[in-house]
This record gives sequence, C-alpha cells and structure tokens, in this order.
Amino acid sequence: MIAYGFLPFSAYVISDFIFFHRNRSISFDVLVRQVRFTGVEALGLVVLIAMLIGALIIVQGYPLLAAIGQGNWIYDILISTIVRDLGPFIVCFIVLARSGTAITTELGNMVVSKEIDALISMGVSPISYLVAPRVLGMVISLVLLMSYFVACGIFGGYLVSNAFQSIPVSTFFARLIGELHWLDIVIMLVKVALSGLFISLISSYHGLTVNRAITEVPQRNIKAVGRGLVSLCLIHVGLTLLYLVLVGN
Amino acid sequence: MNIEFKNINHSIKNRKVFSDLNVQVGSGQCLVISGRSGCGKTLFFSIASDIIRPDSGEMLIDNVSVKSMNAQSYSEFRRNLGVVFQLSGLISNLTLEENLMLPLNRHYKDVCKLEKLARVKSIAREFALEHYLAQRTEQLSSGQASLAGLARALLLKPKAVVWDAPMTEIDDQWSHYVLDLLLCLKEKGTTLILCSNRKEVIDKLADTQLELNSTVCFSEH
Repeated sequence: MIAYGFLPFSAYVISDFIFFHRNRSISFDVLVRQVRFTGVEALGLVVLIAMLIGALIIVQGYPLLAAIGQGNWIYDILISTIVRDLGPFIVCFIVLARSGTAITTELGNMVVSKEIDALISMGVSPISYLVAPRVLGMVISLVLLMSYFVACGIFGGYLVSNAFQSIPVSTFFARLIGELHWLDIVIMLVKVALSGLFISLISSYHGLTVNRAITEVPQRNIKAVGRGLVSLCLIHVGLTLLYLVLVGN
Repeated sequence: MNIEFKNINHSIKNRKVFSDLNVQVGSGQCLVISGRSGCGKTLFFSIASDIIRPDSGEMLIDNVSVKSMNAQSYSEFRRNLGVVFQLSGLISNLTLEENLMLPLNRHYKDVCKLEKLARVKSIAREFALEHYLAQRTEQLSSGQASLAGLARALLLKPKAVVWDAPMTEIDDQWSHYVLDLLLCLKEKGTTLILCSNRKEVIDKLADTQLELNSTVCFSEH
C-alpha cells in the first residue's frame, strides 16, 4: 500500500478504522499507548504554554483596549486566540514536533530492524496494528490536549486580568461564555481533529517509506515535519476563512 | 505442507538474482539454501516467507498459488508458516511476553487470555526464557533474542518453518538442542526451508540443497 503513494495509503488507513473492532485484540494496546504519549505526557508542556499565552494576551492587550475604553473586547480576543485560531495551531504544532517525529522515527526504525517484515510474517497487518491505532490515538489526544489548552489558557488569562481589574470569577466566565459562539467550538474541534488525522497519516507514511538504511530515518523525519507543517497551515487557514464566511464577516 | 517455487525471476536494481528458479519441498523435508554472501539467500528467504513477491513466477502451497488465495486461506497460510529472522525480528517496544502473545492474539482471538499465557510460558520455558518474559526484548542478548524469535515462530505449531541464517547468534549448546528440535519437527512432518552455509545444518537436516551462485546447482542428500 505504501508503494502506491500517500493518498491510497490514507484511504486504506481510514477504511481500516471501520474494522478497528476486529483488530482490537492486537491494536487496542497501541491506541492506549499513543493516547498516553500524545495526550497525557504532553500535558505539562501544553498547560505551561496555554497559561503563558493566556496571561500574555491580557498583559499586552488589556492596557491598550482599556486606553480606548474597550476593555470588554478582551473576552473576544481571548476566544479568538485561545479557542479558535492561535490555540489550536500551537497545540497541533506541539504535537507535530513531539509526537509526529516520534511516529516517523519509531516506524522508520521498525522497518530497518525488520520488525515490519516480522509483523507481516505473522499475518499482522502493519496498517491495522501500527498505523490505524496511532491515527485514532492522535485524533483523540489532540481533542484532549485542546480541551486542557482552552481551560488553562483562559484560567491564565483570568489570573492576570485580576492584576489589572478585580473581577469575580463568575462574572469573568459569564462574560466569556456570553461572547462564545457555538461555531467557535465546532471550528476548534474540526481544526484539531483534521490536524491530528493529517499529522499522524503523514508521519506514519514517511516512517514506513524508509527502505533499509538507518540514515534515511532523519531524512524522512525532516520531510514529514515539512509536509505536516504545510498541511497544518492549509487546514487552519482554510477553516478560519470558512468560519469568517459562516459568521458573515 | 508442500511448498513449490515455480519459474521465479527476480532482479534487484537491474541485477538478475533469480532466473527461472524452480524448486519444491514436501512435508517432512528440508530445503537448505546456501551460497556465498550476497548471492540472494535472504532474498529467497523473503520470497519463501511471502514478505516480498518475485517479479514473476509464483509460490504454490499444496498446489495453490499464494497470489490467488482469499483472505481466509491467506490467514491460514500465515498461521501455518513459522518465520524466523536472522536478527530475531522481535518488536522492540514490547516485552517478550507481548511479543509471544502477538501471533496468538492475531490467530486465536477467541481463546481465553489465560490459555494463551500458559502456552507462552510453556514455550518460553522450553528455551529458558521464562525469567525474561516481562523484559523488553531490546534487553535480551542476541542469542536469547534469536531463541525468542524461534519460540515465536514455533508457538502456533506451524506446518512449515522458514529460517534465515539459523543459529548464527546461538551458542554451541543451544545449537545442538535447536538442531535436534528441527530434526524432530522434520520427522513429525514439518517442512523446513533454511538459508544457511553451516555444515552441521546441511549434514544433519538437508534433503535438498540449493546452491545459489552464478548458476543455481541442486544436490540431493
């Protein structure tokens, strides 16, 4: 399937999801490991970055907005950066740099050490056993990470905004939710789910296209990161434009 | 299991490695592939274990072409073919127990876990690996990894075993044990295809020897 190119490979992996329950006896552990690595072990990094960005937006934006008498716009800015645009991109970028490269390296090394051949010889499909659970795990993990990011980013923003103006927590969140549109949540979820799908497919594909030499692994990694980044930009810009069209701006 | 290679042609980067190769090995027989380094032993191993398909020609299992098998027959073929790699081919991020459970989980989904675990422990004991079951396979020595690769291949009681460079990593004591084990399997009707230049393997096990050189030579033992 690898020999036919990226698109047939992706179509095959996605069709394999439909039969995931059939392979769960061998694939479920891989899915759990992927969610743990991408969705849980990256938690510290994501929480730290989310809180810093939330705080930074308030520190940079609030004095400027207050000076022109539009302090309330800070909620709109928090939503557009943390929930809709910057937040999803940062989370996807962290996952591409951390988990995408890990997938390419791991699969590439498995090809070189004949572990993929060993799986084939046992009748275990490398796509069902290695790729499909990683793709599914990546999508689940990105949705999880994005939820942490939103929660921590907004909390970080709230903590810093208190330094400028003491606002009760209930008022802060009531105003924030008042500004939040259901489409913001939908666009955020579609962005991270699609990005998770593409990052894992691109990383897996490049890992499996390593031939024999260990020196090919970093080369494939560079290609996977480059193409992953291009696909992230296209997905995020495309969906932001779609959002603007839908809300009528 | 009767395995026949019919009119096999294969080239690597415009270099013809196999040209109209025909060879057959029946139940309880052993085919040893020998020849100098780079002559195509491992390539033959890959074709015999259906990891790569030749440019032309086919492999027949009990007179049925592997290419024409449906999913169920192919799965059955995989279950009946034990493949042992030169470098063990164990999955490095799994423990030895997880490695040994993998073919069982793939081919015996409905069998209870305890039963599968008992089978894994039994085969690990046979190769003195029972104390390493919880360890990741990268922590095993190369000899132990080779034995674990053999244990994994024999776990499903295959009707045929294909082994690339047997016993290259195994010490003398274990080599004698493994040779006896292969002889015993052969007597029970298991088909063996071994890619090896080792004299004791050829002397003790080979019924047919295929010497891969510029011209392919056969010799019957």
